[in-house]
Amino acid sequence: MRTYFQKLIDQSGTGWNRFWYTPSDPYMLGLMRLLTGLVFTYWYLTLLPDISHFFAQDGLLPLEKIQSLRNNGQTAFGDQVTLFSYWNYVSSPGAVQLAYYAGLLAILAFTVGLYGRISAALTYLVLISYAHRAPMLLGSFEQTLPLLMLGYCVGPCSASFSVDRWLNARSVRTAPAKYKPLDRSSWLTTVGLRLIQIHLTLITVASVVAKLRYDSWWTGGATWLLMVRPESRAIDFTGAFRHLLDFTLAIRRFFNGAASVPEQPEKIMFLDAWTHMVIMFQLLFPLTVWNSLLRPLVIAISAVVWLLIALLSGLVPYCALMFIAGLAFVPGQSLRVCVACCCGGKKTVQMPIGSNIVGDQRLASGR
Amino acid sequence: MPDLSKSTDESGGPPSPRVRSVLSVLLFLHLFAICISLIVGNFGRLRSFSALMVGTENVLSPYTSTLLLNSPHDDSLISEMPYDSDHRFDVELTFADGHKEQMRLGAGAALPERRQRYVQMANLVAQLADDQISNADALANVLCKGLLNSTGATGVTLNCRRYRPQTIPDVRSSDPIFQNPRDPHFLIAEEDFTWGAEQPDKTDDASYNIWHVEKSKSDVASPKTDGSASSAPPVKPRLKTRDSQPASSLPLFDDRNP
Repeated sequence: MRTYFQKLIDQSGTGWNRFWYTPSDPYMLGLMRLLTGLVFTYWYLTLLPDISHFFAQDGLLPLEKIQSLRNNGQTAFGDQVTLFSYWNYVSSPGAVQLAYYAGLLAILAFTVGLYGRISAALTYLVLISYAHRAPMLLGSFEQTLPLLMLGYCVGPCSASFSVDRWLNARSVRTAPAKYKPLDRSSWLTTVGLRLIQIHLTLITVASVVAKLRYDSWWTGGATWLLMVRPESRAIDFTGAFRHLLDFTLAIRRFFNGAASVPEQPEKIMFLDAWTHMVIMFQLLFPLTVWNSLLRPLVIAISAVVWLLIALLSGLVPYCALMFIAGLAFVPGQSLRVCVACCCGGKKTVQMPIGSNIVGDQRLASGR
Repeated sequence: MPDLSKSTDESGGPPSPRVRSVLSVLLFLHLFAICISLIVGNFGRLRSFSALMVGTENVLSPYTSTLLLNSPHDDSLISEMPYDSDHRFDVELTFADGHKEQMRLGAGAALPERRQRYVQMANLVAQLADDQISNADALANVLCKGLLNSTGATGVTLNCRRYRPQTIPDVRSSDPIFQNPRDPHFLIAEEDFTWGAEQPDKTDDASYNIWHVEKSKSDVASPKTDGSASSAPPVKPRLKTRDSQPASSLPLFDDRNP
């Protein structure tokens, strides 16, 4: 019995350390940072026309009312904890605009990869401040982004695809003696990517559990209901479906006779399949994405699924973010090979100093 | 297998055993906090939790809520509940000189993300009102006060209106009314939520009143919430007429009906 527990503790400890602290290539983390930054920049720019009207002293969301809302213990918006937001300290329209542009600067610095972790932390602060000032405006995107931002704050997110990397490469010429490559493998990359991987798995599980509570995801009607939401949807598919429906009805009448085909069908099989595909994908994603053999397939399918959900629901930034988070499962060295093939078709791929292929493979395999 | 026993810097191998131990504890606590937050958030409406679970969540919530990690991620996108339909805010403002303006919040927002913020608010207001929780009017209260502040009006009627989803026969209909899901035909009048608010003296916050306009009593307003609402006058329960000035002169809204 004692030997068993000894072995259990030893192997768990070794496995934990290997899972979290084996150095890995930061190349993918850099690409994810760039993509996340672009999505966040777009989302933040859409806030510009309304920012003063929301947050200024005489705006639509008066600060004292929001605070009293929190103090009333409204659980939907949080609890009694005093939540920091720099928007609480600006009230005049000019100050609100200034705060907005300061936030935009931080997000742009994060996007281009300038002062990596510092700009990541500041971008995180921008997001938190917005969310704490106007919790009723929060959508899926704002709720999901923090789980990625934590990974960027921990890992060296500006080690590739960044201004920092470009400046670092330039320093080879200016001060070769002091040169230390920025994109070397590190255990902090692993911790950052692992955090994003686990967060994504948890979010997916929570999301599919929520969907399975409701009939429309079982009966197949969810896709239709998403499609006919006039204010939320990104694209109106109903016209295309009208033609598709007419076409399928004509085919059915041709083969089965006009009498046996109803004039107004209540269901469309294609939409049922679409709904079930979303559920199947979300059910299988947390299980299959950790398998190195299935992973490329799962990531490719996720691109299609999230694109379709984005078009249906109109939640484009959220769906983009979910896809970007899935890239955390792709090893940096695989991306290097892809980039090398795309950019000039080099025969040899330059691996980072201190690169640990074993570590990257373990990161990829989830062991 | 990499050798994890040696202490190296960030560039090469793993951290020192001491750093690793501290980090491991922090990582474990972080993931534990997120898991508890997800479970409580996701099942909070369906289940009652043990005192231990609630206590643990309360201890961890300052961390998760400060870093915005406390979202339940239970967005099912669609749930077939009444509040799952899209909603919109129709507003009627009454100014000190007696003239009135009608508008729709966020109607002029072309970018979907911008429009969705208003829809998100309207959906949330409807969900709170549908659930009939104790302070269901709280968010409507914020918006009424905000509308009075931002427009200079002395009275406001906030009408949260629900769209009926299009059906397949609607979509196949040759009548253009049924093909436009924003057509007033799709608004469900019986499921509107309406609030009235006024602040006759703009310099005196104590003069601010808000009340919920009862659906069943078509033209009678029942005073409610926010302390001093006892002598609130009745307001019209529906926005029926379009009055003098165009609402597009206001900064935030316009009344274009796309």
